[in-house]
Amino acid sequence: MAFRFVREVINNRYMLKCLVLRDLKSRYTGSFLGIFWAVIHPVITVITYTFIFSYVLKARLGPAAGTNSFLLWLLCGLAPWLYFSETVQRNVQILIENKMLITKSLFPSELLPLSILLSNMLNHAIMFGIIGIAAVIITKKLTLLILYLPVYIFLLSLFMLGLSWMVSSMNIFLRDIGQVLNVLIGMWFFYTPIVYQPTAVPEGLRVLLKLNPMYYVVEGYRLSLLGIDQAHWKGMLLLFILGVVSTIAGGFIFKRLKPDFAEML
Amino acid sequence: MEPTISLNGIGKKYRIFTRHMDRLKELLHPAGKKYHHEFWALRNITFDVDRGEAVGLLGRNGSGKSTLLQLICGILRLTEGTIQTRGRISALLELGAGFNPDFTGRANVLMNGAIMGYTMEEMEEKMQDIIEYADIGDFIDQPMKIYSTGMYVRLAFACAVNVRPEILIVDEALSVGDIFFQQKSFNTIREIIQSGTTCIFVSHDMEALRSLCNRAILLENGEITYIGSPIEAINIYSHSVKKASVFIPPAVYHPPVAPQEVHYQSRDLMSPEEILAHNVISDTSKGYGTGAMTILGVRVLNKNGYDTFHAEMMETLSFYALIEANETIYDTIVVVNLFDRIGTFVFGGGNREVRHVLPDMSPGQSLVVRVDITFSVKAEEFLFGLAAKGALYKGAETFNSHARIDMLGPIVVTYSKPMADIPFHGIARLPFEVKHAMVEDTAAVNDIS
Repeated sequence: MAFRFVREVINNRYMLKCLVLRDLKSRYTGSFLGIFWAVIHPVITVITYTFIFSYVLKARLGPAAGTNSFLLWLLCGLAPWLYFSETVQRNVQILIENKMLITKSLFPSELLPLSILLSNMLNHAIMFGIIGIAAVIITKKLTLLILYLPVYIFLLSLFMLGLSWMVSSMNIFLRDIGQVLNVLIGMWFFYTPIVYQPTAVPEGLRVLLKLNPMYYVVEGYRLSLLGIDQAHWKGMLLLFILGVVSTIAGGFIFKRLKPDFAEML
Repeated sequence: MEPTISLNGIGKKYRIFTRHMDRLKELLHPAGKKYHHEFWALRNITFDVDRGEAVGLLGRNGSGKSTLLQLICGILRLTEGTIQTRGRISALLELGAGFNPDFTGRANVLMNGAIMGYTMEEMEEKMQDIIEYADIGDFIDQPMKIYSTGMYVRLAFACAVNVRPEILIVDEALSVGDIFFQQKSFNTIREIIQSGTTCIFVSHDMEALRSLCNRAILLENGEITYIGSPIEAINIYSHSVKKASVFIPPAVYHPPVAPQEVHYQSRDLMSPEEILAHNVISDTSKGYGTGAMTILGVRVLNKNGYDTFHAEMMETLSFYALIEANETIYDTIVVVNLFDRIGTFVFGGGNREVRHVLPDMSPGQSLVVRVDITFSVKAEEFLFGLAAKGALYKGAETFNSHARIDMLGPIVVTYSKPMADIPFHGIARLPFEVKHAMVEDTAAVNDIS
């Protein structure tokens, strides 16, 4: 099944390219600053959070953070989160948005969530260029740990692909799923140590934190970008397993529901 | 030879769920518990289509035509039976519906090709033909959302036929575009059928079906009621369309009965009872007028005495009308009007046009009038109407329409003989004649010229 999907992606690479380009274009055409919004949005979010947490609430980073710059530290946590939440939230509706393609032609609908994922990944890449530069300037060091970053991006993407297939196909049958997901993602943001350090969580609750896949992602990003030298092999392995399970489960559910898409849309 | 499309006992069941949630529950239920009521959109559909054959699908709205096409394309899931298709399918289910308006025409063509299983290189090769055929020039590199409807349609059609599919499926898409493109597309379809492409059409355009298809399939409530010659299918279909509103026994022999007492002007007129027995006016037919007269019934027979709305070109249909006066009417006039598909008033004729004087009528009196019309018009569908007029006082200059009913029919005019024998070309046969004389003195002609 996985092999067939890869072959299909290769056969339809032109279509995939068009879909990705369309998504990128549709986001920024007509806006004066264009692609810069991909950066402006998270930067302003980060500045706001930094102001609230660092100046108003006087939060201070512990030694485990790897940097004294709250802004940089926050940016490293927020970037993967935005990648994750934007992709999943957009993918919930993606099949419904492309109703005509699905009901009136033999369209490989499984490519739609993938195209959004890839388009967000490109957005994300721009963010990372900037964070990378900021990290080097602020921390004045660049370690080989940054090579972990692509691995984390890949594992996160794998997890998201499965999740996207799952929610997008199920949302056709039960439109509430989109709404539920929005609420869940709002809560999930605070469940993930993005604006706070995991060490700030009371000892007893830290176990709960470790059930959250995004915890490993955020920690992994910080590890790679801020050069904290403590390999998260366990986290990475968990993410890998989760990514594979999620892709297989998502792929299975999508495939199972796909023959009825045209009927339901 | 193996058939190109082979349908074996297929059925499509829609599951009607009382609650939306039930659908998801059923799909994911490990033990396969059922939560739905069943509705069969199609059932027991079995037929084969051979290579190069063109098959038309006829049926009222909701009879399952489009569902059947979607099943053959593989968009919908079959409930039972098997469908085997050999070769690439190009489908026009609603023209251009598979196109993405945000992409350029070129990108859409390439993607369409990819869906059909062509490589990029193969599609690039065909691109020039497609652009030329669609006649859209530089617009090919513009996003399709800025296209006019005509351009959209042309590109979709060009794309579907220029990839030379083994199977072409067209749903109600033949009568789009301007008349020039329509003609071009008809010709192309004929051409690709001849080149061996198998075609399935759905159309309410009887003329298109008749001229393109070798075979027609009539669907009614999800089942096949007829497979065979397109003309016969059109005939049955036209009757069944009418049957929904008023009962007319199809193609039953009803010779006009000579009345016992000759109080009609001619022996071959019908009695009011006979007209009313096969009245084509339904309760829903739209009638208007001053109300001084009423059209009680209309019956349409062909020369063999069949109740029919079908006429072969140059054939005569007899329209029998039963008219009742509610007031005193002088200079009674009864007219039959014909309108074509797009509402053009094609013909109107009644007693006055042929200087046939109808008697004045007093309240309560009724009259049977027969108008014979020879359909020396092109093979097409026509709607007809009836009007009863007359003066309310003697010597009146103006004639009011006292009763009028439109939108009856459709009358389907067909032409099924060889094209070489066609009695005329164009819309209608005007009275014409040809004379000639052989020139004896050829030298004289040469001198003049």
